[in-house]
Amino acid sequence: MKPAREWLAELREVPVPPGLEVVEGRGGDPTLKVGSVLLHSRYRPREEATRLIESAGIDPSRPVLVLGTGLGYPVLALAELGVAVMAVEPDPAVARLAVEGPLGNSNVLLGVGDAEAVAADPAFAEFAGRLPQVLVHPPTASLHPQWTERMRALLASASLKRQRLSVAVVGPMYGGSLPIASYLERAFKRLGHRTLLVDNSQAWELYDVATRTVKTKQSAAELSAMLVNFLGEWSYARVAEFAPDICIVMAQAPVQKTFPGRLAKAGIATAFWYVENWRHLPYWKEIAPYYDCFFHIQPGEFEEKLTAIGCASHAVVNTGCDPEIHKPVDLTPEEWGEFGCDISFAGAGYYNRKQVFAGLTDYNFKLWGVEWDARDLYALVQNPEKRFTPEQFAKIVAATKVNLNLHSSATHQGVDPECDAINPRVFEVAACGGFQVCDPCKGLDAFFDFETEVPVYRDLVELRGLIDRFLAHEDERKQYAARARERALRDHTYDRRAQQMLDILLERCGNRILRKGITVQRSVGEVVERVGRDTDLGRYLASLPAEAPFALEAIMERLTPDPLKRSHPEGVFAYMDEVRKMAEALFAAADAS
Amino acid sequence: MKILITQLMRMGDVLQSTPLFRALRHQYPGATIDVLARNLGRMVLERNPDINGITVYDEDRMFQDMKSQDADKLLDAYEIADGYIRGIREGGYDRVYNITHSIASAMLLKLAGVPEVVGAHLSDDWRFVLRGGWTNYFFTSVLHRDYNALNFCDITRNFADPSPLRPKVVFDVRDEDRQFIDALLAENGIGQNDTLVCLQLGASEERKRWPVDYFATLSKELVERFGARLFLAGVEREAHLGEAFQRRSAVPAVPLFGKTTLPQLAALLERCSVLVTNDTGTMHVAAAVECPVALVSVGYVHFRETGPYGSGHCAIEARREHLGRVDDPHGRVDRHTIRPEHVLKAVELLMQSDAYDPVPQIVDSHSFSAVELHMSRFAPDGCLEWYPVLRRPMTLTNMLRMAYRAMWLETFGHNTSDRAEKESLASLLWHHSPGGDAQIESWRLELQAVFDKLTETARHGVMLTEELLAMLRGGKITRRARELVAEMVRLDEDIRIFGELHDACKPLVMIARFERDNLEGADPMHLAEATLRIYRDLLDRAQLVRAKVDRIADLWQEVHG
Repeated sequence: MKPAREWLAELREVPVPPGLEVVEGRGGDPTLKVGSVLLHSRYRPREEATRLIESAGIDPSRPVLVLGTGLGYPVLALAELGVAVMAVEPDPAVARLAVEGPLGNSNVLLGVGDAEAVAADPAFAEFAGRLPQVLVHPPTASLHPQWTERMRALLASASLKRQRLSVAVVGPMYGGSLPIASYLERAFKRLGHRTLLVDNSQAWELYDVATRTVKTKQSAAELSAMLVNFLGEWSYARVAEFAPDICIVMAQAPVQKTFPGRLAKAGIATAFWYVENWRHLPYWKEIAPYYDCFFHIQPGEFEEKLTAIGCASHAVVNTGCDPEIHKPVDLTPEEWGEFGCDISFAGAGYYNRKQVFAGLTDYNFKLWGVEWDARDLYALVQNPEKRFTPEQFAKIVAATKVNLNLHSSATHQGVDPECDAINPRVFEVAACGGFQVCDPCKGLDAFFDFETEVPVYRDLVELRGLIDRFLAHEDERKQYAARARERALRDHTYDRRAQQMLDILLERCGNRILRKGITVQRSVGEVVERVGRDTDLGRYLASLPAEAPFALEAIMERLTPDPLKRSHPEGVFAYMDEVRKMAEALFAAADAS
Repeated sequence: MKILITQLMRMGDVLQSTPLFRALRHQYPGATIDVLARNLGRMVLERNPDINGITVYDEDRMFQDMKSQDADKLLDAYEIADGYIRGIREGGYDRVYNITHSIASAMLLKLAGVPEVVGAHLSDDWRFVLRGGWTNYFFTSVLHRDYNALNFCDITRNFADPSPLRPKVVFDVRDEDRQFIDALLAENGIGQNDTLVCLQLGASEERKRWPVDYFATLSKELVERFGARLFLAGVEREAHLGEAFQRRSAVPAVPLFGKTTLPQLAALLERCSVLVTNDTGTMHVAAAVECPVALVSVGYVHFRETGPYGSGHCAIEARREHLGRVDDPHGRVDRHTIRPEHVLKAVELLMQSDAYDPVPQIVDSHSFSAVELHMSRFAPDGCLEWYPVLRRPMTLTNMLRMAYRAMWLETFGHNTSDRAEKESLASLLWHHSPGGDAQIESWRLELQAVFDKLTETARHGVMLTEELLAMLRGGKITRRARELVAEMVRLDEDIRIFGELHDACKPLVMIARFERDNLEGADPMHLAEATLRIYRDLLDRAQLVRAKVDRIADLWQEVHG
């Protein structure tokens, strides 16, 4: 990416193929022909360029990226209007003729060639951050349709990467994906985006009571369907009101199949995060094709299955750890008494876990979580049938010398050799600074080193060997744990996963989000710089945390409670909030009528 | 003198405020009088000779900017809000009349630091308060609508000193508007002497809208009986109502949806014999140009409060126990209760009578049993009154409404003479059918008992407060003083419950509570003095309503005896 006139030396060596020729126009200006296709008017290419700009509805106050230069007439016309322009051209030979011709003296930034290479240039990213309009040179688009589409997608992605977006996460009522929903939402927030977590867990108690207290399964199923339907509508209303750019629905979230389609109508990009084992729960077939992107945790066979059912866009995004939750904790003497042990496992009592752990009852062993109904293990279960909180999990890990991890299976006696769904526990124990031993789930070696970070076992004999070895060597245990923690914090945080999702979604749906229009998110600090520190508003905002979002709710939360002690800007915000409340009440009354 | 009037409601509300502008212009002929209004009100204000300047208040844009969740737009909204505040401050107004009942408008004026606010404002400790009798009445009358007989125009114009000018809604029509209408009539083959009737099919809410089918049926009669040429008024988004009308109507009408400006519509109405309308801004424009209005009053509409202001209009309403109650929240029942023949009768009366003649009477019959028909005239007390066209027996609600009207006008110093009051009451009583003397006497006794009890309670409040004041003047806050305050709190609660139990005295209780809520400052002496004034007012008003009830009962004998 450099000024057009600086390309001349480089492009001079590019051969011009036989079908490409500069033709003298009838009005005096040259035009360009590729085979039988004319890239500009034969008569008045400059006027044609002006009409193209007018018909595209270009706003001259905003920058423009021109896709396809031809000989450069539209680029020059925009530059003459004083518009900030960047141009990209897929064909180096066309670019050569342009810089040898009309663009020869131009300082307009020009990129040439492959879309990925152009987009990788920092100048392109910088320009994209200014949210440019796109002017497509139609003959170029018809000659290079894929390049044009790819360029559009890369521009949208690059444009949005620098923006603070609005992201909604819809959580489930219960289950393993419930905490992950809040970890993900927090991760998006840490990345600087405006977020909403639709917390369906608030309805769990009602759901549980309603479906448990009726006698027949049919009644329970009907009640369940009604409640799920209701929660689906509630989730939709919350998300629609929030009007995000992106909505991510967690596994088990109570939303209908129509949910993503309804949001898509408002230009919102949707994704589903299936943090389940597809072999155990088949509902993915019902929903995957409806989302713009279907994220899951199992590479390989599942991806083929998804493609086969018409899910055009899917990607592997693993679970991870939240460093604010999954961190080493200090324990009180009472907590050491409650949680302390040589080995422990925190999770649900799946079939294979019961089989394997029954062979460990001779250790100082504690089991946490639900569904541990095996007679041999019952005595080891702490707080039977009670779920543990993330905070309790961190304490369990901290108080255990060897944390056990075994990927679940409802069919295998022991380690499932086909398992390819890495569980979140492996990341969470590591981030908590705990030492763990794990079964070698497929793909796990790409996340942790088995020799230095997370040792693995294939059967009970190997597991007992590892337990004995590491119980006897505290220093070694600590070294493994420290390395695993470092790795988890570096590579496996939910911030990383959230960014991975964003990169994928922006590339695939960026154009739609841009068409919808994004809401600009700024921090208080940015607004201070914008309005000036020496203004009333600047002085007031400078008294707030610089990283706080510049949003009315955030400002109202920080308002001086006593109206008599408020500064002028605080009074203005209080007044604005009153206007907002009154208008919302009026709209609500109008809706009711 | 620089005066600002803040009227941030809809177009109709702005029109209803014009009698106040007129009264203020009369009171302060040399003053600069500016108005802060929404864009909808601008066209009304541009045709008002009593004001000097208009500032358009774009609250909608501010709200949309805030709602967008966009940081840059929030900053825009801040700048708009700050701009209004600074604009008012820099305007250097000596006084602001705030006739918008909202905390936001009160905050705006507080932030602008206006030295004197009449109407809704914020106290020094930033509480929403209302100052003055008429102001309190303006904001509390909607809470006891059954007993309110005063049009908003009469209430708000009294924010200014009494004016000898004939009160009226003001909207100037210019020659260019009339020329536009001449061309419109010619284009549609309508002659200068043809009878024109305008129909307003829309309303701000569906529940305030009389069925289009009924309008269509009525139209046929209007054409057949009066040879009327019909126009359909409305804004562009109401065009679908016009299409529905055309599908159902056997007679043609000229659709004007979005095709005229407000002044052009006013010029058309100036030429019309009647406007048949729902409760709309168009109705107030018609009143301003003295076009007789047949108001189909449905839903929660209260024609006495917001009906067309002026002599010679007719309001048709379904007979109902209470106004605007929730038992028919969508107005479905009364929308269909009022039949085309009822409205046709109203139009007929308007066509045949003069606005300054006595209100015509029609014989009650079964076909009118479900509706009420009222016609407007200015009463001898100087305010607008709605007289029944169908003479029916007196009701307790009507009796109380009359008593309250007389009491408020006397209390707030409207300068109504005793004779004018007597004539006003007698005239309205005459429009009720004779008989029922025993019932009137029974109500007199019943109401005497209620207002005596309220008087007694208020007197107790006066005594407690006087004792408290004596202690405060002595500079001692004793245990007894605290007991007195506690007793006053209990008394206030007793008064509130009394109001709940005895609907007849609710307006008095309500306004007293408002006045208590509006106490300003923290000085105990000042608060006690203000409290004493409120109890005394309550006492005086209770006695006065009782006296007015007595007078009405006595007059009943004189009029019908």
